Amino acid sequence: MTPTTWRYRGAVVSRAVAAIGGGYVLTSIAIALIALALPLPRADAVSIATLLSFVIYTCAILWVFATSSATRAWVGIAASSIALGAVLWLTGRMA
Amino acid sequence: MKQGVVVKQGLRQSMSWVHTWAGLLVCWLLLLVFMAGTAAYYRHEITFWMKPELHQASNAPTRIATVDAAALAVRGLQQRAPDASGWLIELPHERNPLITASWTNPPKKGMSREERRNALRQQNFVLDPMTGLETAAPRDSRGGEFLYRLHFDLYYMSALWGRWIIGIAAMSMLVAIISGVITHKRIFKDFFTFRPKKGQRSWLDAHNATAVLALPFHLMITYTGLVTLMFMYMPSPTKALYGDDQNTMFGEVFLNADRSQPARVAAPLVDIRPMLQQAERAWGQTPTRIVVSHPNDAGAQVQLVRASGQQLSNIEPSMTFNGASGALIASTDAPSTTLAARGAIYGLHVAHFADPLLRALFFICGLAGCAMVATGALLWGVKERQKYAKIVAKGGKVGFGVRLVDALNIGAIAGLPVAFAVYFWSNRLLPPDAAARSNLEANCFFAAWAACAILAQIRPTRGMWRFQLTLGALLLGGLPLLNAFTTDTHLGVTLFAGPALRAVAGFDLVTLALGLLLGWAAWWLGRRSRKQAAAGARSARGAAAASSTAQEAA
Amino acid sequence: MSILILSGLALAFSGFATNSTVMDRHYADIHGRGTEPGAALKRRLRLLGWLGLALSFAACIGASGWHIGPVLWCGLLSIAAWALTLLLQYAPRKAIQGAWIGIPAALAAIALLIGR
Repeated sequence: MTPTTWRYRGAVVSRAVAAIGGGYVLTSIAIALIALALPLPRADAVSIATLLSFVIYTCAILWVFATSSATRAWVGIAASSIALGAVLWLTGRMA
Repeated sequence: MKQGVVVKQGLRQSMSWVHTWAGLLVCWLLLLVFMAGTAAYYRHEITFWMKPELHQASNAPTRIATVDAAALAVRGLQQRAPDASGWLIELPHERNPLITASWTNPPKKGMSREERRNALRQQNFVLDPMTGLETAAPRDSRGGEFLYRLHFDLYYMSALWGRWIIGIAAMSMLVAIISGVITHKRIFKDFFTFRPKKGQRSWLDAHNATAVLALPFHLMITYTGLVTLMFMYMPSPTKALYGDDQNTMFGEVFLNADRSQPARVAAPLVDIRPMLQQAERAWGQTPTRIVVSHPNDAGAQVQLVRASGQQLSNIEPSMTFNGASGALIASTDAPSTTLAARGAIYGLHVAHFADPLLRALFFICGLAGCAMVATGALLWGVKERQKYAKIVAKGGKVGFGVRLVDALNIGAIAGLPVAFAVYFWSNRLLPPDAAARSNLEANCFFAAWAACAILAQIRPTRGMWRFQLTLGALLLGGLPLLNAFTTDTHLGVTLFAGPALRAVAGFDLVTLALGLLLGWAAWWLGRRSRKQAAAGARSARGAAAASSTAQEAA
Repeated sequence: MSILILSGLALAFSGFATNSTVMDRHYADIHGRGTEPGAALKRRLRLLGWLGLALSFAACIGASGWHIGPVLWCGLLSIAAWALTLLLQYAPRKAIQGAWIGIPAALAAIALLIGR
């Protein structure tokens, strides 16, 4: 029987938010970067990047639930979002 | 799912948890999407069945030339709507033998969405392909288009809300599919395994068989479904590359999007016949659709579109002409590989390229998708109920979750087919000239579904299962009979008529088959409960006999 | 054209059936509980099974081209797999005997493919 303590429930909610919300943010940043990085005409780049979005989002969601703790999940999502977000912001500045 | 405890969750276990919840939370909505979407593969045929007034005209042995048909349609449109903002003419092709013309007006201020939709429904007419004359106005029905739209726009809400809700459900399904594959330990060993009469094990086998043995389809349909609205769900690349200029993005990616602007100077529309002839010479085949933007305006454009043929991409080649001068403005070049790939991904979802055999395969796989979702939900109920077995044996009740899931299962798995059937019954029984008829038909669909869902919540028992399954069986299976009583194009006629009417026969036969399937399910449930009752009585007698022998022995 | 597609379907069924013969569960269903196929038999039949599936793929490409052919193939695979699953449960010997249909189907497919 899975434990039904508040601690357990809190961990589940925490992971769900990290996966669904954090995962979406991470995906959005990642695909925007991919779109900017691809050396293709705009229409092609925007298509490829957007096509990849659901693959990245799925991987992010599954990783959040597979990783060993909710804390680890948050650290992973937040760190990669911040890192990629910084690159995106810098690219925006340079353009 | 234990945080910080010594026992580490394996990947399989965490994926099993994700699979269960990603699936369970959206399964009933997904059943609606899958059932309506599967039906939508035959939306033209369904619309045709639902407009019996058009059956005679479609059975025409000969047809006037496409060019002349188009000219007649334009003449009709000039008479009715010379100032419309757009005209659309559908020319005959395999799945639709009639000539349909419709027009759109710019929405008047203060019109509600309802009024706008109703106005649109009046704004069309149909031409007989043999004579070129107008047919009698068919009954106002959205036909298969209602089911098609239902599966991504939902209903009773703005399309935006519907698309977001379904997008979230589809994303959840994608997660469920991948996590399901990861967690399935014996996916190859149990590939062909189906063991009936073993309770929970059998439900799992059924779930695996419908899921794994059509996995390419399920994965494809979910991913491609998300792709059809991907720019709405994931807008950040568009923002990064185009800023706020969405229209340019759509124009560059979707190629055939209409970006003409009216010049607000009157100029009569030239004869479109030379344009059609020019397109036929260039393509070697006739156009299937004519889109006129801002007719009778100096900025008018006439776009001729032909079917994309035997390619996966649904980007249809087109030629655009100036409406006032007749000069060719643009013709779509071959799209880049990426854009063609995007078109192919979209095309796979819609299956526009599918001939009758392939379309039937898509339909069967869609039904398997419904079965996959249904068996998954039922499996959860069976598993959870086992946890309450001891309590129930002592006369207690199952938990709230189990009861809720049972009721939702009945309402969706047994109730939705009833709703579909009632939709088709309402099409035949509502008077052809009733006001806002297509809305009435849709309301019948939802009223039937609501009734089934509410009844299921009140009494989520096996008896309710059998009642709703039997009702669905009678209503769906009875459609060919209803058709015979309400129209002239019943099975006796349509099985031996031309290809257009054979579509009507196909509808009758498929609904009959689905009705028989539901009837079998109801019968099987009845047999099981009789067997269980008999087994219960036998074991009760056995226990009584055993206790009496024990007493004698003592 | 439809003969090619039919042979594609038959080849898919035959390929799956041949492969299933040397799967532990189905081998035991036919030959008795606890029996296992030998390694050489496994290799041979698996090769034949995959050959059948490959030929089925070729038939679909021949019938519908390189774009639509693979889509058609996936659909035929599903039908064949479901049919085999039901047969293996309710009539396992008939299912295995049914694998022989692959031979005439292969001949028909090869003849039609070479002929075009």
